[in-house]
Amino acid sequence: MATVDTADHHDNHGHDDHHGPEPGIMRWFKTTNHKDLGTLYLIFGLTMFFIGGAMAMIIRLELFQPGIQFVDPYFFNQMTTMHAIVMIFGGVMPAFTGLANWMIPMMIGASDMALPRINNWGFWLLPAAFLLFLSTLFMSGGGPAGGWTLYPPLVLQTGDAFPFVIFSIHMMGISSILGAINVIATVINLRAPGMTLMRMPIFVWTWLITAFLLLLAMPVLAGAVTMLLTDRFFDTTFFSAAGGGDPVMFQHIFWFFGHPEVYIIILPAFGIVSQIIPTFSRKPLFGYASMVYATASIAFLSAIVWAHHMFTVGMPLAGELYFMFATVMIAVPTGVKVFNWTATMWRGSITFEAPMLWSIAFVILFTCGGFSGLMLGIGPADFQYHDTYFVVAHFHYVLVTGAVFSLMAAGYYWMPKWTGHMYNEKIAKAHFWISTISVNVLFFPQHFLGLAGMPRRIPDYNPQFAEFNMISSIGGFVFGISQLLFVWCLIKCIRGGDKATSQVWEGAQGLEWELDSPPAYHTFETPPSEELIIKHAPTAH
Amino acid sequence: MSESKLASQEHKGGSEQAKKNAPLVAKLLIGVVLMFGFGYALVPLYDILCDITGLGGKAGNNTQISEQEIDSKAIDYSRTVTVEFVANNYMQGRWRFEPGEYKVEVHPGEFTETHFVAENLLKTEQSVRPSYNLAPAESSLYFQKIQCFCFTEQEFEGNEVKRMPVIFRIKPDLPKHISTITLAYQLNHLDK
Amino acid sequence: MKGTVNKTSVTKYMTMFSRCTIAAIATLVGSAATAEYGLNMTEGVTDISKQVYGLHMMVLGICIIASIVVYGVIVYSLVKHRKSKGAVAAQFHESTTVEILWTAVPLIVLVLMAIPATKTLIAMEDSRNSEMTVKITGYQWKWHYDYQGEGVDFFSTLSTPAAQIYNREEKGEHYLLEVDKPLVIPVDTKVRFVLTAADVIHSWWVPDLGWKKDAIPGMVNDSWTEIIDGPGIYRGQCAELCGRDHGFMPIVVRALSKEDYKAWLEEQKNSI
Repeated sequence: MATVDTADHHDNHGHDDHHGPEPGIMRWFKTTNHKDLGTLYLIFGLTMFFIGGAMAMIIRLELFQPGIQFVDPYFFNQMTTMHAIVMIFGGVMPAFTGLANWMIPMMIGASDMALPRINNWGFWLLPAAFLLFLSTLFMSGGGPAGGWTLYPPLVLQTGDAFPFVIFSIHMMGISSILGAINVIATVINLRAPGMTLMRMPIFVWTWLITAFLLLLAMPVLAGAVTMLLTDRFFDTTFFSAAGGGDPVMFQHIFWFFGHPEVYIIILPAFGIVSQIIPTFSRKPLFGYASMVYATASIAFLSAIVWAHHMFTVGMPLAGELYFMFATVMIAVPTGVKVFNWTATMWRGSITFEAPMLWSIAFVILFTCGGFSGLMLGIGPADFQYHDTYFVVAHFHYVLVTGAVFSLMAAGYYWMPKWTGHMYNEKIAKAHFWISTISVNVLFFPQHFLGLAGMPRRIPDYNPQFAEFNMISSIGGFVFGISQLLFVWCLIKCIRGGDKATSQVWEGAQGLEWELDSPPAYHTFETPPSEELIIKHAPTAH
Repeated sequence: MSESKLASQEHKGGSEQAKKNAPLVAKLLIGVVLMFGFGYALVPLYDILCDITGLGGKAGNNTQISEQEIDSKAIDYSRTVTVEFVANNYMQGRWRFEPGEYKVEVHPGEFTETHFVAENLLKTEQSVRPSYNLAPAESSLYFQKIQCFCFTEQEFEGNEVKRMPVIFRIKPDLPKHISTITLAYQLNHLDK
Repeated sequence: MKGTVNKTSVTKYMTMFSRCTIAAIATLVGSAATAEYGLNMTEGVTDISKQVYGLHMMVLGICIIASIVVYGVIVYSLVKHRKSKGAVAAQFHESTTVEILWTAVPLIVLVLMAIPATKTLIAMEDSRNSEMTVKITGYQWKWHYDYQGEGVDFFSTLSTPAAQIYNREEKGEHYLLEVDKPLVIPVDTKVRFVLTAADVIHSWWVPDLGWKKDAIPGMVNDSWTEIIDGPGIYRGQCAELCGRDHGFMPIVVRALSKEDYKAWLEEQKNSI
């Protein structure tokens, strides 16, 4: 199988950087190799997942019982704010960028990302940004506590940390933009000859569309937070009614970024699951072309529905009707995706290795989050749901059992390819079952809490909410601790285990499975042949 | 574009790829800059949107209409609309700010004069910039001001009391589902 | 459900769905638990809140039906089409007919759902013929109520003692949902609210009234309610994060009969 990349071992290109990695620790600082950077991104994402998770544990600990037991309400607000930013910008997005780095060149038969040095810069901005961001916790006045949505005027009450928070968000944004430019340049310019757009794996498609969404959304966020900064320090009055501005305008600008951001987080997850389900169903992805079109329509719709996050700010009737209709329309392409995954499994020959288990859980639980999203889209009902735990349950179903579950699926799916060893299936399955049960214990009762009237972002509550909060917290602790199983499984897998073949999974399709496990440091220096590309194309069955 | 220069250096030896990358990256970077600008362009766009849809209840904010522009014969005596007045003041110790009357009943199309009273409670000079909006927001599309103290910054001597008039008119095409309108003024302090 | 309500056609249309869904949830969780812990949205005490509840139950019902279909197919597939049972993979990967079908059917369902939602939204925005206006101002961290034109205004602050919050005393039934001076309004009267805030954005929410509305500094918003289920005490909270004590600025509405309200208002005027 592993005949394609053997040529790489012969150093016949005359380039002096075609040897293996540089020895020693400096390798990781200086590397421009897509596999090294992919690894760095993934490790960074995992680290942030645990830091953000620790914050979530503090939140659930305080909410374990009514009354103030452990933390001051203001510190609680810092935790909810920072948990969100750390998880979104530090955990999920870098992890997806890591997967893009590792997999996209191997999937499209390219030797590396198009802009390797910018790739290195894009990554190393992130640790700097998050060191700065997390250090604001120790500044006078504490870290940001106005919610991750940074609504003025509240966010302007942040202490000394304010400019540092804004600056770190700028850095996170620049990093994402660089990553997105790199993905676009790679996919547009570096596809192997014969790798037409409609022969690309669906993961590459979803990431390409995500990258364009990033370029659309992140600069707008940068603009919005810059306006906050000048409002605070340079006497502009963008969001201050006193000077002729409008605090509601921030919400419009923020959600013009914020809603596409939601899809930036979920589209690559769709891509991952669309790779894995066909593999373990031993059957091609149903409706490849309609998956591509559905992804593109979701991306388009995501840019024109932002104000459904703000039904309660007082919009004219026509505005509310428009945003309600546009929002529920997203259910159509999203439904197409779910139906396609279901049809892919239908009459397949299914086996249940860990990546497939995570993917099936993704389809079922993400759909649950989609249904609650549909409910939230109904304007009049949103007047009740808005800013309650029902919303918290909704977005954790799409972000945790959606995005994070897809990342776990991806982790187990490609881990043998990355390390060259099979992971321990027993630990992986234990991780899956404990996580899946506990995550539902954690988030499902939050639907009831929200419907019964518990607002979000409160550190204390009436005893009528006590039972479900306690259940939710117990689920949270179990879910949090069970993620250590992933780390254990990962370390074990890096250190050893059964030797992985290049094919790894019986039903796997895609050029990455033609390469050795682990692949050579440089792969596809010579592009794969067109026959090979056609053999692996999603539509070529 | 220093970035595109960087991009072109990525592949030494002037490979085909680098030649393709530079223009693409340049285009994408221009896109990023434009989107950053678009974030700022949303500010005037938002005001335009407010004027068109009544969003925020301040359509036509700060635009003064002269009496000649209005066809004063078009008064709809068959309808009565209640206009309520609200004065918002969050600098309790420094200002007193009240509507002269709580509400008036008007016929769409007719001119109505009312006033607000503001008092500087400090012994020193203060100035304020009044702003206003209407609820429901949609009604701002049908609200015309002939005279309003919100058009200018207001300067007050120490302990001065001012009676500030507003002359307004509701357009006769006010939608049927609106029968009560709140006109709210805010006093915004100007730090000098 | 209370039988005294004059249901609009919208609510009637939705009750059917509601009954099915309540039955489904009750069997899932056990009806005792439903009553005790408050699993579902409140029906509320106004026509609007009942319409909203009906919409909620209708959409929930549609979601439950859709999920039974989708999950049913998935589970069937997982059970029947597994390799360990000797299933051999088919190789089909396209079917224009089913793809058109599963695009069109959800679209139709969505349109059908949007019709009652639109009707309710229009009803919510119709503040015609209100009989009185109360101005609500959010402060960090208390509410201020001003009865427009009556000369009656007061602050409404959390009355739960700190000893309960810091666990030195047992928590009362209305822990964190009790205030020193509740908002008093008459029943069967269309009351209009104008909302604003003094410092940051707050959101005024009483679930029994069926809506929340943001109180935004520098501008006023409006909304209205008409309590039709008789006198009572209805509780809510600030719903928009507004700083340290966001969780500690509850709302209590005391609804009185028209006569009692008049007497209360006179008393307030005289006590100033």
